[in-house]
Amino acid sequence: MLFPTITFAIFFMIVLPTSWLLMPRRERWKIFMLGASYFFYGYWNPRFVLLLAASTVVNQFFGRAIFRNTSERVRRSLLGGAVAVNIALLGYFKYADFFLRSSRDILDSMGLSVGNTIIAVTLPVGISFFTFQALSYVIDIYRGDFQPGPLLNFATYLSFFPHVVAGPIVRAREFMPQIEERKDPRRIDASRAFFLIFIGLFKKVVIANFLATEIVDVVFASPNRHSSLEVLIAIYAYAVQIYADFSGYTDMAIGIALLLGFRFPQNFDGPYTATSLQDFWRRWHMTLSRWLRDYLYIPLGGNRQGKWKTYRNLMITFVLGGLWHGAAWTFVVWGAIHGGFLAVEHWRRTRRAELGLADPPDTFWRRWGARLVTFHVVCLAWIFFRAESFTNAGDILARLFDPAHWSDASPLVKVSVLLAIAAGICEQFVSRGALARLMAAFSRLSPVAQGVTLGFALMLINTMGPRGVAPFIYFRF
Amino acid sequence: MATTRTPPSPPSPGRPVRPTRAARRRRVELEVEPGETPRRPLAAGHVIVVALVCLLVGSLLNAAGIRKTALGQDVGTKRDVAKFFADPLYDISHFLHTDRIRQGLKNALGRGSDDDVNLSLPSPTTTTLPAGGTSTPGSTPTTTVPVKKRAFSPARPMAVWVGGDSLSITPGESFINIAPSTGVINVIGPVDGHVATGLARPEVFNWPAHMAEVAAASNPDVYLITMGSNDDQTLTGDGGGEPFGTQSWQDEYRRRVGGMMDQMTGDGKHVLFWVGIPIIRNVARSEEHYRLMNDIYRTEAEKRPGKVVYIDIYDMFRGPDGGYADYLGIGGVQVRTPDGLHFTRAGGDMIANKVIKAMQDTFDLTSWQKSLPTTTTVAPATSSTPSATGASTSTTRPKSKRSKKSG
Repeated sequence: MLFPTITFAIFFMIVLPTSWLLMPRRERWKIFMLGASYFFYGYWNPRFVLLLAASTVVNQFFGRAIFRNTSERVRRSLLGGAVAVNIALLGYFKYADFFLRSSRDILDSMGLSVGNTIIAVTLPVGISFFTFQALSYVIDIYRGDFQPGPLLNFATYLSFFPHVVAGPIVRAREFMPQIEERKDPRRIDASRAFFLIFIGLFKKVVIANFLATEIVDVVFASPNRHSSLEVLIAIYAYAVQIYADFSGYTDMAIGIALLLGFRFPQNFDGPYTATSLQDFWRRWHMTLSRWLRDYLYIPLGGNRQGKWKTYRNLMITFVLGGLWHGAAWTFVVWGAIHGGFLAVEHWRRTRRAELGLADPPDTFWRRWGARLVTFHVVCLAWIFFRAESFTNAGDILARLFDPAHWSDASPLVKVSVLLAIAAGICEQFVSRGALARLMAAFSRLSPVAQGVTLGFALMLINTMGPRGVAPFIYFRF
Repeated sequence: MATTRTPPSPPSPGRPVRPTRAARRRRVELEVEPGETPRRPLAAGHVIVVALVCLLVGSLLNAAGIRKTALGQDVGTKRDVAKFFADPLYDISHFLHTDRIRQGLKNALGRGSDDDVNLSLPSPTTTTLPAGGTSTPGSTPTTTVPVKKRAFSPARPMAVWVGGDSLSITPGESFINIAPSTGVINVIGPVDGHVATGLARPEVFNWPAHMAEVAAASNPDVYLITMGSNDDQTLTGDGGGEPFGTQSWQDEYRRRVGGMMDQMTGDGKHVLFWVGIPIIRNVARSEEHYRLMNDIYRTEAEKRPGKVVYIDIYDMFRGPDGGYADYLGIGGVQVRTPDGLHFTRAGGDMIANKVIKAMQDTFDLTSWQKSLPTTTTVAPATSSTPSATGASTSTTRPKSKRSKKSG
């Protein structure tokens, strides 16, 4: 079930009042919300509800066992078992064909033909998200940061429909205490919730879908047929498309959770305003970068074991982060570009410190220069993220830098495309204060006036967007 | 809003304390981040009122789009229920003129026909099999090719429109990438693909009406269309109503296919290449539905020799065991996507090469090379694609002098 559909609107109009009516009777509320979330998840493919339920039971078992045991050796073994089970689950559904294909290619290149060994597994939607959330639950219990809750609470957390398919990656210690806390049904931050939902809808339905159909899909499918300018604008358009698509989804998820009385962590904070790669990862998919930092980068040693191990840890973290997005070598390259440039930034900072040089002054031009460099490094990585193969990525880059095609006609570079790109980037520079003032003014309208205003917004979004709803990019991950 | 600045006086004994206006507001407003303007919360009941009013107003303003979405549902109870609500909603919106805002915006965006529901479909003007016409299943192409082939050259390239349902998109993109290597094929625009469409449901997307617009706008020499994989369902629109597979369904579907073929090629100036439906992972659906439909495309094409060429790809995607295969060839190249229906780039390339071969058989695409002072076909480019029999084959592409545009 996709958020921007009539089916979801009907589903939510049943869930919202029922949830608030049942809220005082907490156990009934949990059972209802678990059922609603399983229905939401199973609407796509009912069989995978069993997978989600199995993941819940297994991780709860490990979590409880780790909590009960006092022997560090046993606890460590149990943690290893939990990590192995989760990685095996993810590995089978997401990476089995990738590893089989890669192994077979290597054997083929050595003259050892092993025939077709592909098993063609269907990828369950959201598996990367709920597996990471389950892992954080077990690891936090192991570290003593969190105590396991009842199975019903954990199942409600893991399957909670606003975040189950594409995040944000909410940790158990952020969400599960909210299940038990008393919520005041008279004090819902509805203006913020509605703003998030409608801004998310606009980003997804109007900006992301428009850019995908008008230029990105066409140019990436046949780069050699387009001018260098069209290729350049298509790369910028994809940078905006993936931001609008993913941040639009998480805006909606955060808004929907807020209407149900739950707070999710922020997931995006103007990523294209970043002045360095490190800054970018503080602003892009923030819940994933926090997860990678806390459960991968720091356990690897972080930056505490010398500069070379820091570079190694950065590369490992981002290459695995790339693989988390998809089972293809292009995602590995995407991660390696990020890891590599982060290592360069780290080296530069360390070197300046070693030489005793002060930080350069933060001037307007320096800041914008840094933003432009960062944005273009991110765009370079996006080419590999979007390309269907290395050949395709190579064609994009070759066309981009081929001076013979800079003067070609560029019919796809339309004013509407440039406006959509500009809107997607400028939105990230809008001050929080301005948006807060708008939300505050909206919150002072009567409920009927708010509804009428949102009804017109719905019409605008529905009219401006292309027919149908394209799947969210991050549903594949 | 003004706030009370005077300090609160001490409460008199025996009287309840009345909080100041500022204190009341603080209690009413939500806690926000520092620097943010405070917001007022809503009670759950009011949230539901806002949502209901929003949906009501939004539905009235978007009634035309909702009606089209309702009509686009699969024929059955869900569609009936959707229509039950959408039809009166549209009538009310039309009566109140609230649909005009959306229509005005659509017109301003140049998409004024988005919400139109056009149920009429043309009937064929060609109805009989020509003398000497063949009817061997699976042969490609199956029509009688004219003795003197129409010639194209770089100076007069063959303009090709590519489109159809979702199965047209990846092979169409492959065709766009590969065709310029012939030196004489000029593809008009990107693939004109419309997901989940066909000839069964004209209220969802009316292909004959769309093709009339394409013909008027770009007048291509050749149409390359892939269509049908969504059509194994109850037909709607004029002449519809019969469930899939009955004789009446076959007769009506044949009328629609023939009608569209005649509409596109009736003037004798255009040739239509119709790519059939491949075997899919759901082999029962393939064998029981798609074979029947492919037979209709093939026999209708045979009635129109020189105008319509049917390209059969059903058997191209069989594995060594004769069944559906995701991977073909010794190297195990993935040719189908995990959904068991659509094509990967390699699968798309296989179809594009077969289409180009069919075009070379139908038209003279190479004689222009003989008039050139130097030989230009000496080094054929190869595209390694898996064959249906499991062996990897090399498809020869003539390397030709290319204009800057065709790159």
